[in-house]
Amino acid sequence: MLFNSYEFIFVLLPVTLIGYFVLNKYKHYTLGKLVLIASSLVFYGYFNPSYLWIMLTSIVLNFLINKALRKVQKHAIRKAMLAGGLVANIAILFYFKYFNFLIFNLNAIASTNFQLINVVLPLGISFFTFQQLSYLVDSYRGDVPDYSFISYTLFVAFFPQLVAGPIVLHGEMVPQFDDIEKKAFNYASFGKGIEAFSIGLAKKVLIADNFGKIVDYGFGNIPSLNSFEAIMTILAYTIQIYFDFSGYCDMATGIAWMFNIQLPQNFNSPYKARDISEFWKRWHMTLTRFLTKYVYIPLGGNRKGAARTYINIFIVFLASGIWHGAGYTFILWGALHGIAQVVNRLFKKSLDKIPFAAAWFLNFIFINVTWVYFRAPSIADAHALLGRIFSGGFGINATLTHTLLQPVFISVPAQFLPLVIVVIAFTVMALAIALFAKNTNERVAAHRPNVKTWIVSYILLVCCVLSLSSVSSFLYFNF
Amino acid sequence: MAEKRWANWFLVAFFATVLLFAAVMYVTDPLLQYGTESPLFTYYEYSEIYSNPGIAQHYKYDAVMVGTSMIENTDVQECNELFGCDMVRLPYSGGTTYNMKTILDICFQSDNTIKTVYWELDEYQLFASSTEPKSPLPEYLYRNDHLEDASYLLNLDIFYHYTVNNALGTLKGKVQPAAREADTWDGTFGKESVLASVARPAVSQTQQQFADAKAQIDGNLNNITTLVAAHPDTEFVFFMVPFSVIYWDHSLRNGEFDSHMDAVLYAMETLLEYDNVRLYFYQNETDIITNLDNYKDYSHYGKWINSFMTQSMAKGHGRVTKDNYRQIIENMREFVYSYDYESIYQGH
Repeated sequence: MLFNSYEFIFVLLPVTLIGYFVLNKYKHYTLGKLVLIASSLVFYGYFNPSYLWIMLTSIVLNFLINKALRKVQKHAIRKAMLAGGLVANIAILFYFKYFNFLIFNLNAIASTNFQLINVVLPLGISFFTFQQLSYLVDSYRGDVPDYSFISYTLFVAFFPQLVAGPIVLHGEMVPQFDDIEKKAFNYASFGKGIEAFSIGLAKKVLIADNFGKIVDYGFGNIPSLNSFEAIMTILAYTIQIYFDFSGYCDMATGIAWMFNIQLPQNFNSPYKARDISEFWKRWHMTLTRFLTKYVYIPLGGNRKGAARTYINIFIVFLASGIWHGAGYTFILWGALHGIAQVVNRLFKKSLDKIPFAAAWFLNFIFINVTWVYFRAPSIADAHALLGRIFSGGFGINATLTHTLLQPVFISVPAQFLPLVIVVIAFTVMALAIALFAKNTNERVAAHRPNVKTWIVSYILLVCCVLSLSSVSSFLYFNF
Repeated sequence: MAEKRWANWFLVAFFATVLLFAAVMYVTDPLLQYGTESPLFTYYEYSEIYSNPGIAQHYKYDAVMVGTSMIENTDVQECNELFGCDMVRLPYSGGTTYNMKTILDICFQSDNTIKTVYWELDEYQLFASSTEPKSPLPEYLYRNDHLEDASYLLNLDIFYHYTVNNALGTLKGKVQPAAREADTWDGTFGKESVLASVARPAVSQTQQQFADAKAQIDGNLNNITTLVAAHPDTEFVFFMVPFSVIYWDHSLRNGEFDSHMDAVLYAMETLLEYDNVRLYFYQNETDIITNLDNYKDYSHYGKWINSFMTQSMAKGHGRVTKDNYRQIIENMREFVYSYDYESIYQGH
């Protein structure tokens, strides 16, 4: 199911809220948790019930390994169990996500003719696999209390964060589900939740989806783009991916707040970053956290000398690239970010002397260019698009014009101003929001039940709900 | 306390707004999803993809005409007079057989008894995808699934483009029924216009093969014949429209002409097997297609040509039968191969 759908907003969410808090009121806390789990299963299996088997198998498997690890003392066996568990989880992820990529490359290199398998990528598999890997490692280290199966399942499957993160750690989630004080409906939390959800939905429906139209056209018609269209396509994707992903996380955060649950922050105005290392402390923060804790530090972090530090950094970003997708574009994207991180560290003293504006600008260009590789169907296409920047020419193609004029918010201003001006204006506004406005987490922290927050939330939510009918899909859904 | 008031008022206002909006959409029903034209409007904004399904479902008619932009200028009144029917016209610009089949399915599910289907058939439809529409359809308007009503009733874009425009048009005293019957294009006709509309292609080194496209063509013919077979009491009248000689020049130079004629022959053979099929062929109207004053680009003719075809069908001119279809195609091939295209381009 999608957050931006009638069935979620008008059916699943209200029913779950009512079920959960009514059961809690009569102290049926376990039933309350089961309601959350049931809703999560419905949410997850809505488009494809067969996804459920994969997720449930993964949950049961990992829970049993944890149980086994509690019983076994012998170090060698524990280590073997950990290794087995890691391999099993990664194998499942590998099969669904990377098998065809492997076969494709094998066929290309070795001139074999292996068949690609007909496999559908289960939604969110990268997310719930990573969450469980962290649980597995912590179990091995003895850092995990004896959670019940219900609590564990809820930690993995809780629908706000199930499909596209944030990547949560068991230690920050399970205690919340067990906290009696959080069981009662809380108007302040609910208000925060409404505000966050409305903003997130608006980021997705009003901003990301509309810029997405430019992106889809641009990447689908690279050879014919003029300079303006090429630059617009690149900026549009930079805008789309941020508002789409952070919008989704805002909605997740908001929904969780409605249930009195706090999710970890995932975005902190990343485009404000001065340099690439700051960027990754602001973008997909829970992924950075995961990779740091479970890849970078086990590799030795920065404790084994400068050269090894740089190698470790590069490995982490390469892993990030691979995690993002089964394709050379993702690997290259990850590698480029890894190299940038290393360069950033290597020349830190000199780079720190550059004025903020110049540093920011260089970083922003780097982000935009590397996003092209992330989004392009192939590396060659990425190069081609970057090349079209120099093709000359200005203006918007007729087909794209027609597509852009569908939504009310664009066609109304376009009756008074040339479409090109409207597009530029919206681009400037979107970037201004990303760069200068308080981000959603800051707003939620500062949330007051006053007229201003009420009006903003009301207008955004109404406009969004009335704009749900165009087809949309979250970008991070293939992860 | 403030938090409680904030939340409660929010929920009340939000649901009230949504319900109010849905009520307005339901009552105004600008795309005829719930019934015939409401007395609220005299003017209905029309766009093919959005307006056709409502018309197909709720208008009263006993004949339907489907096709591409080739029928957008067909005069429905003239058809009614000459064919003795009460016709509704449901074009899809650049449409595929999937488009035609989808809308015809709705027609047949409606309360109307359809005596005749007039289907403008062309090479585009034979070679295009048989499973996809030309451009994405708002599926919720095409399906009778009430679970999808929210997509229509809570749709700001439809409210703006249709309800508001209908209201504005009505207030200005304009009259236009939902099924727009006259649809003239603006355009300049004549040789200059035709030649300027599309660049003459280079002669292709490869010839498109009918065999390569046969699966796709079969898919399209299947879309058609499924309907023909499922409605034996309805007469299906197929007609193929006259493209200008410049179109055939392009077809030859692109290496497509032979496979196109093979496809048309194959389609004719297939369709003529059915008793409830009548077939008309106008691609060989040499007087028309050689006169570029009839065209604004290499395929789009003026409405007098639509009229010509209506009158021709009424009197049986251009009829294709099992006895003459091979000769018709043979003659067409001969004409296209032998025509002097260069003479048109001279001086350009």
